[in-house]
Amino acid sequence: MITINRRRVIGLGAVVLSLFLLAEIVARLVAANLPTPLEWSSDEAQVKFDDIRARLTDRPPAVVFVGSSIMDAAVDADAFARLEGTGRPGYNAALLGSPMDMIATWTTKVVVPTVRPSVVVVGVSCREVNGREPEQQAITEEFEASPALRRLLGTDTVLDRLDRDIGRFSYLVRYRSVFRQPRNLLGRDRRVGTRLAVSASGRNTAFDDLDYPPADRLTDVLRPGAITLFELGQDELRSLRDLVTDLRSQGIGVLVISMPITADFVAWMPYGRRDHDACVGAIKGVTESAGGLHRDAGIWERKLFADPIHVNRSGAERVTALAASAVRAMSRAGGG
Amino acid sequence: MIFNSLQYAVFLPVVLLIYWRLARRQQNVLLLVASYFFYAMWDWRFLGLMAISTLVDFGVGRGLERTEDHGRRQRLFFVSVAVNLGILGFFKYFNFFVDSATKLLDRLGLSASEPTLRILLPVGISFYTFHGISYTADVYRRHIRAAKKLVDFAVFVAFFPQLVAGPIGRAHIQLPQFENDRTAPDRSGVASALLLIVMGLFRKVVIADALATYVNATFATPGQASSVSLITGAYAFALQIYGDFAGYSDIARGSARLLGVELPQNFTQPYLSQNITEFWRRWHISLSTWLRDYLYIPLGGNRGSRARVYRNLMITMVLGGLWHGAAWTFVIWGGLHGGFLIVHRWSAERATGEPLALWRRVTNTILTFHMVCGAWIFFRAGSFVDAARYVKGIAIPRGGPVDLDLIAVLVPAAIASFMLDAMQRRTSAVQLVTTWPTWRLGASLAGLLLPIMVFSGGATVPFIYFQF
Repeated sequence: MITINRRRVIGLGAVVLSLFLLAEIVARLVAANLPTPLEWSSDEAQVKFDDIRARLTDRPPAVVFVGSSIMDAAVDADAFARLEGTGRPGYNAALLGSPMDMIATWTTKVVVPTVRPSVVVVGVSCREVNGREPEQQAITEEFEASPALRRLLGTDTVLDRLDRDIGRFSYLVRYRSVFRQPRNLLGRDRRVGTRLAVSASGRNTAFDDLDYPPADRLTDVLRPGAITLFELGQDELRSLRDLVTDLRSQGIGVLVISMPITADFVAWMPYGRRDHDACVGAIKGVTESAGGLHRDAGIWERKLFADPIHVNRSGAERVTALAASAVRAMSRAGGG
Repeated sequence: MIFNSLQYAVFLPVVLLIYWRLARRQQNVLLLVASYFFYAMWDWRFLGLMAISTLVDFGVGRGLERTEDHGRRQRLFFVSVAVNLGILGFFKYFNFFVDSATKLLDRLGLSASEPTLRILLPVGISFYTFHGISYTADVYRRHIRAAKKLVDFAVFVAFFPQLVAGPIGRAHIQLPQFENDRTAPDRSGVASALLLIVMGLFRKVVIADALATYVNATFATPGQASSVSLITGAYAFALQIYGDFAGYSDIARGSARLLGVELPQNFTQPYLSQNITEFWRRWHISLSTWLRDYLYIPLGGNRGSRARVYRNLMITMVLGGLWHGAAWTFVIWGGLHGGFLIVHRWSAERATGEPLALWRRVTNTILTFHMVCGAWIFFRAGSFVDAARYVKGIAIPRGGPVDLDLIAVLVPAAIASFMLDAMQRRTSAVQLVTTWPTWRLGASLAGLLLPIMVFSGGATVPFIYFQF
């Protein structure tokens, strides 16, 4: 039996420290072949944030589109600029998988302060205002935990600051988020965002060429998930109201589009059309009471979709035209 | 406050620093305050609930001690069970039963509006109510004497290392530890406790949390993933839940040891079991022994006809499933395990009793592991439909991309988990720190700490068993 004494503790410390130093040397040796560590919770957020900042020096977007994957796939900001007529450049800043809370934070704390647009177009569906979607909270928490956001908001903790300070001289700490993904060490996808299909103006083109699935494959392509338990979320509606109010108070024109969906999506809701109408009515009510303009895209035919909620290329053209027409009307009315 | 947080890294040393300067009575008061503070960090509103459960069980215990009248004793015990199960039933199962009833009425064409009352689930409710029931049951059966001091008993119910996810406390093991003087751990005791905490953090942060992202993705889209992805996803969840829960238990045991309290082991290499009965002797031991002592045996246990024993097994496992959560998927998970246990019992009755050859033992271990993984699909799936889709995706081979990232994480995670198990199987944490040479122990410690450092710092992933 070995006694635990001062000598053994010092010996243990020396062995541990030596191995940490060795790991640090290895980290420095491989760092040149590693991607830049993610500062945001997803590749897409990182790419879009960098993109928005890069555009500031040239032509900052005057119209930005925000929302979840539904909006991400739906508006081509370049085509929008042509259709809207004023030539104002736009950017689709929507992020995959964003719950309402996250859309609001991303818009008001990141996108708007960075680009100072004159119009914000918010794409919302009943999925974003569903109060019974447990996965949404985890996504929001992950987003809120991202170092870049915490730094922007000034909510970084002692640990975050310590992390940053140690990361200045320790590659092991600086690259640790990269080391967590083995693909980074195996030579795959070294650049951030290589697996994303995002156009120059921010639209996600992954859904463009997908055909609408046959009825028996529908749930294989898009899981109905919590929409079958749909219940209007008061917190989600409050987030939307706060978002519109905040933007309007800054003199920014706000258009909220109830995004187009299919009849199949509506059928998944517990009370079908009744739920859908109540949901769109609530989105409209909240938007207008906060001073924004609302447009309901309605239920569209399947050939415009890649699945029950994401439009394909043809669908995207139609949503873009709808947004352009609504923003034009809003501008004429003096709302942006 | 969770174990893998900065708050806990500050909280535990502060408690320890004060704790070992106090006399036993004061130590218990401090532990009680610390435990209630620990709980209040989640939601102070439910402190009252825990206090009510504690007061009722303490009162019932004292009452049982004072009376010899059988009828009165029965009534007192019933009060304790009714209060604890009433609290558990209301907070845990209200939503489940109302939702199920609403759906049933809807299917029958009777329009029923969704209830506006949604009940929040207080953290740890399944654990502390079971602490209470085990105490009053043991006093009722005269296995132990009732606690004399309310503070001692309240600490047993609320002891912070095990409060929110166990191990489920057993009064005859733990209560005496709070009623008597505790000895401060010696150097090897402290070292082994710290090693347990580091091992637990490794299991949680490096194995479970690293797999969580991939598991969530696979279980979110069971209809889209390829068969290979679904299979690896099920393996990944098996490792994730083990890492998560065993990690929590290790940290709980390490923290308690620093306070001079020994908690029972909750896991002993369950995935190396050769049959499902052995699995349940090694997995969540505190729950399986609780169910055995307070449900299976009172139902009749192994006594009576074969059909009766099988019935007892099935009831115990289905209720064990339901204990985990208010969902049909948990009922099916419990039912599957009940079925496995019945089949194993039936086949064991026909076995010759001769020792098995190595290849048979290995085959049995692999088979048992896969049965457990199959049942985990129902445990993890968001709904019965999702689980059915998941099983169908495995049963009817489907092509598609294989997530190489998951495999790249799964393989090292499995090796690391197996190595930790092997380490703990051969020697306890105390033996490790007192028998291994410095270089070997130091290298192992660095091998645990380095990955912990690399994998920490992301979004906090709550322990899976917190939801139960």
